Amino acid sequence: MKLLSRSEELLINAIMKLKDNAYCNPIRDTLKEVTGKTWAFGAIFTSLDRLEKKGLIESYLGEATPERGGRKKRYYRITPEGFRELEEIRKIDKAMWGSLPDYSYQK
Amino acid sequence: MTTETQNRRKPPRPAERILRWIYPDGTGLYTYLGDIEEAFNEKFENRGVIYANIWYWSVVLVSLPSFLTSTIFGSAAMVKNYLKILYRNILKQKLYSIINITGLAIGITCCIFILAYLNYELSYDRYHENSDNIYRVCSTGNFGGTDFVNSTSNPIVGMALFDDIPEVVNYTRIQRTARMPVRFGEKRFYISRIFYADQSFLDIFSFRMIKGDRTTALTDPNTVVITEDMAARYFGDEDPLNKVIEIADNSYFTVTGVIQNVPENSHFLFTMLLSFETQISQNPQMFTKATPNWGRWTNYTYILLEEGYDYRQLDLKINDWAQQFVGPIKDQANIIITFFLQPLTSIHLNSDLRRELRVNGSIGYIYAFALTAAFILLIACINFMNLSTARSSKRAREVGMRKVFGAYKRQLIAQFLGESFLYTLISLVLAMIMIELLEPLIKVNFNSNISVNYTEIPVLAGGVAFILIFVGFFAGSYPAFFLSKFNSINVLKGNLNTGARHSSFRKILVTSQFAISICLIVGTGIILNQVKYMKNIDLGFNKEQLLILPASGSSPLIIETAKNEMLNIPGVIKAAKSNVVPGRRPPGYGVFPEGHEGTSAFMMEQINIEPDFLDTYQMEIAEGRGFSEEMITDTSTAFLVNETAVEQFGWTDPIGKKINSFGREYTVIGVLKDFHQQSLHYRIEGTLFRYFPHSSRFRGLPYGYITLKVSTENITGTMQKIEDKYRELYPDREYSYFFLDENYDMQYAAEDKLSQVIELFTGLAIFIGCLGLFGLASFTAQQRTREIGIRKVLGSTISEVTILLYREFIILIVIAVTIAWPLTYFFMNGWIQSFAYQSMIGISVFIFGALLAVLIALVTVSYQSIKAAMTNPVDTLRYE
Repeated sequence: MKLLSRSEELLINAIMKLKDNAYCNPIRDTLKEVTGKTWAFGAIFTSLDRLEKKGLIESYLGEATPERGGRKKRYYRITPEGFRELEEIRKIDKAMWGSLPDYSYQK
Repeated sequence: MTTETQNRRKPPRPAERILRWIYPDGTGLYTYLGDIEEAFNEKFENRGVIYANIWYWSVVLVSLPSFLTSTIFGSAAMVKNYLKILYRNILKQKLYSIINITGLAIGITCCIFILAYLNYELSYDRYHENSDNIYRVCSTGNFGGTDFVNSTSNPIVGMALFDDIPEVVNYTRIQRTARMPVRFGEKRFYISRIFYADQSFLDIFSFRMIKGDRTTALTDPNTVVITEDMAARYFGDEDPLNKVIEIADNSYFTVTGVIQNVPENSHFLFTMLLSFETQISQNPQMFTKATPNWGRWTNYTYILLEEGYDYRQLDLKINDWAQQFVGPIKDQANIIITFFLQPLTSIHLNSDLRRELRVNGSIGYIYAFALTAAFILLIACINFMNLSTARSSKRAREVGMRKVFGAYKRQLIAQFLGESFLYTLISLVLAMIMIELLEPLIKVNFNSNISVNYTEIPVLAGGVAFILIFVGFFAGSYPAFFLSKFNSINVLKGNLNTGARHSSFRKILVTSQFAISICLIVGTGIILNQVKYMKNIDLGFNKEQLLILPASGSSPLIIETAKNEMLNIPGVIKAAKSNVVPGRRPPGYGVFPEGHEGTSAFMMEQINIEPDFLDTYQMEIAEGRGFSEEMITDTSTAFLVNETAVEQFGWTDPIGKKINSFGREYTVIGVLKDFHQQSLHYRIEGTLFRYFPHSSRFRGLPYGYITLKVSTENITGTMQKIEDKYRELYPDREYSYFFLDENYDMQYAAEDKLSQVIELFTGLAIFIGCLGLFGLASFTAQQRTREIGIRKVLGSTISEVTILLYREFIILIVIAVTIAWPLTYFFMNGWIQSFAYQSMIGISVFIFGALLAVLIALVTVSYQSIKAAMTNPVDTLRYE
């Protein structure tokens, strides 16, 4: 069984969260908000490419704006396949965390 | 949003261009560019333009290295592995690595030096602002069927061109003078390279004026502009302006300017410029168009053409235009005069006319040097290719494994090319260190003007970059493509056959290396032969033990007194005066010999001598008699001629024949055997000899040199006495002298330098070639250890095995010889044709060159071969 990596999971989550506004820059902003770290463009581009190649997400071209130098946006949305993968990993997470007796101890 | 702010929000262009290259338009990827630009705009809004620009750049630069490596090598992570393997390989095979790197480094060093030299040679006369628009007007005179192509022309030509042709913006004339004594106060030195020049000289050429007004310095008669060196020599810290100096005897000139020293890379060098007006004011009718003096062809004329005007257009019509002047000469004297233009910048390398202002370089030698540099680099590259392919079997398993693990072919190619580039880079660094160390040596021994300064000379930096790319690619290409082609299954099965198919390629390489080496050896031999021939040929006079005292600018009486005083010195055997000494071209005149009256004049060179001259130089008389002091007519109406002149005149019985010169009739009293007045580059010219009386009214003329024949005994003592006597006689004059043989041989300075440089390069080429051969031989021997072992077990002797190993190389050499011989003959024959008198290209030098190459090859191969042959077969066969 192939599992999503953590960063892929985060990316898919961000795409789902952003709904109709899921293109590179908002995704990057969301990730920064959640993780507190700046993500390199390269890291996002390659990961998105990879996910698309695996068929977990799909992309479509949107409108162009002057701030973008007249280039179109590439929006992403999640495929049913991707959704299944996400469900899967959530289930595993739940199982793993749930089986732990008590994870609130700090000391 | 205004257009202005829109413009300012563009990301930095070069950075954007890099990104566009990574994410090209038209692919799906280009949207990414938009994402980054959007983020850039946001930064711009929040943090300002500078922050945004820096940010954009950082995004680009951070992504670039990994992008590049992943494009070239497939994966950035692999690069580390490649470097590690390379490092291990270098250490593992120290001998090959050293051979490769030093060979290449030597090759690159030679190349860079030659490049620096070529750059210098090509820089001649280019420092003038107008250098591309300045042309020299030269002339051709056809006298009695012989062409005399002169670098000079008539004084009115420039002026007339300027008046008639609108594209001629300016013109100037130069006339050089003999070495003359120049005096200021107590200081009196002989100064050479004093020129007469028009005021426009300073307008056309961009020499820097240090003192004085460059727009008027040479307008008046009897003014002089001197160089910095002269100013320092005569005036020290004093201000030279408006000081009066005496040039020759009793001519006074006012210093009106100080000019920079003439850069060494010029086709003329001068020390002082006398105003041309001085000459015009003495003899005005000679310099006007109405009454031109057609006997005078001693001016160098330069014209400045309009920017962008093609000089060839003027060159085409100049002779039609000149008919108005030269037409009458043809009608009257049957002398056909034509003119042609020479671009200033091409004079140094392409011009070898009569009366050049300086011995020029030669484009042929430039090609020779460039070719040698290319050869040496080629040999070094061939070494690299040879050794890399030879060693490929060692890398075969590595290639196989890489392929099994999924390496693409292009990754392998990139790996091996990358290795080659790294080798080249290391060699280049080594070469640069060697250049730093050798530069002073080169400057002392070859040419002090060669500078290896990469930042100042863009050609050099470009050359280095080119060498890096060319050698890196060329040397690495074959191994890279060859290795990447291995079939992994075969390789890993141990079924590698690098020998058969690819050894033929290696053989071709080795053969061409040999061919180049043989070419160079034979070429060097031929050059040395010609130089030796020129230096040892019977010149027709004896140049040994002749000491020359220059005495131009003094009156004939003073020179006569000096000569007689010198004769009293015990070590001085003979003495004679003359206007020129061998090694210099005598002045030329047109004369009408008997049997040719009323036809075209014959151009003859004239040497002024006295009776003792022939004895002093040990020249021989073929017919008739020499000059005699007793015969009073000898000093007025007698000529001696040389054999060439007799031949040109077509005389069978020359004695008593008449020659008409400048309206006077002279009688030929004797014929001198031909001798080489000039170096063997030049044919012997028809020459007339005149004897002037001591009381001649001419000043400066007719005699400018005193030749002293000194005895070999106690020569230093004699020289000291000559100097003492001279100083005693002329306390205010500078003493200078030279030995004729040294001076005469200086005509071969270019050939000496050529042979020196080619010898050095040949040595280096052979050395690099040997390095490669040594490596290859040791490899072959290694490859065949098992075969040798079996042969020995079966009864081969050591000598049989050694011969077996030699044979392979001998065959290659034989092929190389057959290629090299005709090639060398073709090129060297062309070179030798440039001499009027040529040494025979004998067969012996070819055989010698080939034998030397064979010998060197055998010695190189011997060590490895004999070592292999002597190995105990037990050691080599044990592992089976």
